[in-house]
Amino acid sequence: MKAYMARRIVQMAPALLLATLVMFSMVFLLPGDPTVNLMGEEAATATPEQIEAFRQRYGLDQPFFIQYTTWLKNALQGDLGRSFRNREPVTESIATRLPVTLELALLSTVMAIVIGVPAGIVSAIKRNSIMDMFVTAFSVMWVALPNFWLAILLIMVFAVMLEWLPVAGYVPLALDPVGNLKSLLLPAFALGSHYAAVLARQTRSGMLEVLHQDYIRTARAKGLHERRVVLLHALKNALIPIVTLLGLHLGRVLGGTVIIETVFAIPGMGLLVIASIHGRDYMAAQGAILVLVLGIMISNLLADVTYVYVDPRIKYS
Amino acid sequence: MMTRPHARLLSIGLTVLGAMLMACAPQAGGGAAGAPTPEAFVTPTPRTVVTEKPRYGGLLRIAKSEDPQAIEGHIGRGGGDHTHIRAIANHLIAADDGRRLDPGNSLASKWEILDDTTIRLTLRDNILFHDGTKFDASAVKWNIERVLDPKNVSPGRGSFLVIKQVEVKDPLTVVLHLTEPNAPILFQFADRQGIMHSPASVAKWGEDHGFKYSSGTGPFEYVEWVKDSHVTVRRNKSYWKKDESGGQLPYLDEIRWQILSESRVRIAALETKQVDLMDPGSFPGDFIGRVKDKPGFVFFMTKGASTPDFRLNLDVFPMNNVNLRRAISYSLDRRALMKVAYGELGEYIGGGPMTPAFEQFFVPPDKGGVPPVERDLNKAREELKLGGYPNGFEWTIVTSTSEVNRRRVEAAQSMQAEVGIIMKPEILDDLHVQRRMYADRDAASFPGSFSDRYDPDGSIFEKYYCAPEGSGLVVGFGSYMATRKNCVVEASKALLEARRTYDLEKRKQLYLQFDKLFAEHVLGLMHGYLKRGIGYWDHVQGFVLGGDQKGEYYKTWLKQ
Repeated sequence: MKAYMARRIVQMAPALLLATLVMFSMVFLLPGDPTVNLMGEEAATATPEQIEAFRQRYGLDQPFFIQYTTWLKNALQGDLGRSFRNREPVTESIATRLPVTLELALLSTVMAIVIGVPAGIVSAIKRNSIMDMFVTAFSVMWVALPNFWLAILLIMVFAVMLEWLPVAGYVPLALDPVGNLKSLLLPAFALGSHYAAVLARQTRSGMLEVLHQDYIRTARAKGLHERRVVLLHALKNALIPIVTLLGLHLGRVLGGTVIIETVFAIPGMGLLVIASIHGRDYMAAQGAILVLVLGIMISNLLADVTYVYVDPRIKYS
Repeated sequence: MMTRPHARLLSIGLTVLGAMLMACAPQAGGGAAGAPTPEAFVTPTPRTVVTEKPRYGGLLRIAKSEDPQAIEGHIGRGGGDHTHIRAIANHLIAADDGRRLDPGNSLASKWEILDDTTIRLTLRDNILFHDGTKFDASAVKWNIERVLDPKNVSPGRGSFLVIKQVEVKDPLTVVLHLTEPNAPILFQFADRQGIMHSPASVAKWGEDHGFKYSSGTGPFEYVEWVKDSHVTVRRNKSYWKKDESGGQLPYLDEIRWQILSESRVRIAALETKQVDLMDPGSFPGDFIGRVKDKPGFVFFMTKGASTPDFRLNLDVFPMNNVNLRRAISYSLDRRALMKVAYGELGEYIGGGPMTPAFEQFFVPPDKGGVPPVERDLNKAREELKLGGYPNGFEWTIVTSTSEVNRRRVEAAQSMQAEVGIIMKPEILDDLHVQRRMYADRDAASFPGSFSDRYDPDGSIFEKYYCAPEGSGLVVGFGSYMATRKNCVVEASKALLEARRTYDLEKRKQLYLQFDKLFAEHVLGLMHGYLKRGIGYWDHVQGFVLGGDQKGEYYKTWLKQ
């Protein structure tokens, strides 16, 4: 297992390197002079001499690969540069925002599991019932809902009409745990509900497949309580594809934070990416995207590792 | 009979359905174009009216659309920075919401023009920066020289270049020596470059001043700026200003600006009283109808203080041909353009770049000012013939993808098409649009919107002053158009003279002359004036609108 983990981590390195190369190229692929893109507002009326001075000051007069390797060397030492927008060190921005995004991702995943898995189980057990049809129809509809629209809808209902939850904003956990939970409920639901719907459908089909297996019939013949048969014997085996989905979901959640954090004004990684891109702050955008890419890779790795624990037949050598 | 749980389910279901319809519904006021009612043109600006004894304490929560770029007067260039800066620091010379100099709110208690190029400033005594150091003449000198230092790349530097020397006569007297007469210079101190920061704090914080801390003598002290989330300031207990009955200002304990970039969310936060007030400039024009008539909600619009327009480069086709400029101008329905782009916040009443917010200078059309240019397709066709293109022509406008720009470019496109003028948009990002216009200078036009400065010179000179070779005009400071070849020299002369004379009435006449030349020669395709929506719940008292139509909170208090 350890050897497998080590091999996977080594395999991640070239993928990560490629991702950094693509990200770094981003500013050079945009239309116009990359120096002008990096200068931001200042560039609107800057003279050619001012642009040249900026280019030299930030080493932008160097060839692309020299600039890239310098950035990479600094990144490996934990220095992702300074934001052009607000002069904050990018690593500092990430350090304050990553916990917020992780908290949101965790809560959305928990919500998705809490809603999706029981719905799928009930749907499978009560196959072809009204409940089954309701869960199936609802999950198909939910998968199709764009999350920015869902976010606005949730605000309209739960914040504006019912006034149960705040419209937007983030309350730090350490400051007020209840306020923190309230501030994250709507964004977490908007982010996790898509996965809940996918999970419900996946759990339903997984359960239906497993519930017809011989060992389930044997368990029932032994006189085990139906709840024990479903939760202990059937669900454990139906969980295997769900774990795969969990890895993919985490990647999707990290991508989804870009929209959800913007709508709900949550100061996490997603908002950092979007604000940096809007503000042409490519140094900060590169750093934030790098961390998101790394997060997706790690979540995929964790999903692979979790297989071993949920399915004893799988052995990594 | 319906049971209670069923009734609740039905009620929630109907609520969700209602919300779904609202989420899909078009935004009020942002749709079809049409002539506005006459009332839309006259929107009084209420001044502060305090009827009860102010109450101390409380947190004022403000929704704002964008993060500041820097909470610093001298660096940074974001229009959204000012409200934070002014809570923390004071101007050497301040201006009120009618753009008149306001000694009561200034760090200088008196200013005297000794001769055309010498100004003496007398400073208030016993004023401390938040870090405990003293505000005095040497701090004023240090602040002005900081703006002038090229290495600080201060956006306000251009307006201070006329200052030849800052002389410290004594701790409370400063004399400014100018290179030439400059009437706007006093108003320049009411803009961000006239903010007084603490030299000691700037030295201590270095490059982080304005980002992790900001210093000043203002009513509130910096607490924190969580980027893209919120800015918080707290009461400066030893602020130098007192209220009318001698009570210590400010009244509020804290102010927190919550950054909510999504307009629907911003308005929802206001609607649900999650915030008390919408930052002036952040009120989305499309949503005014949703809140303005709610009980307990105060809403008003400021006078027009921005001029949305198609900025023109007179050196590039078709803008190098005055008849073609006029043809485009006559083809536009300006009221419709303003309505389409800005909803209720837009107005067109005629006039030129001098906006109604300049109360001392603006001349309304019915009192001899520039009358509105009404859409007249026959006149447009005549101008096309005179310009040598009787069947119309094709031209390109560079534009960004912003929603407002998209709306007005599309509307203008269809208006011009009716007389055979085909306007093609070339889509670029904002930065490259401006670069094409001002640096590369190969673009004919772009959709701009310029917010007023405190003096008309700051708003108009920069955009329209030009000094072609052989005209005898000097290249002015900070003018984008300084080296244009095609130029209406008379208009530039009026602007230069208005800059060099201290006589207010003479300046007013010179700007009126410029406005008339602007209309006659179509130096820009102005759409109208853009007002700001100010909205808050009535438990907020003592709101003050600053000279730049941003909020000031030194007199604000909360009823509950």
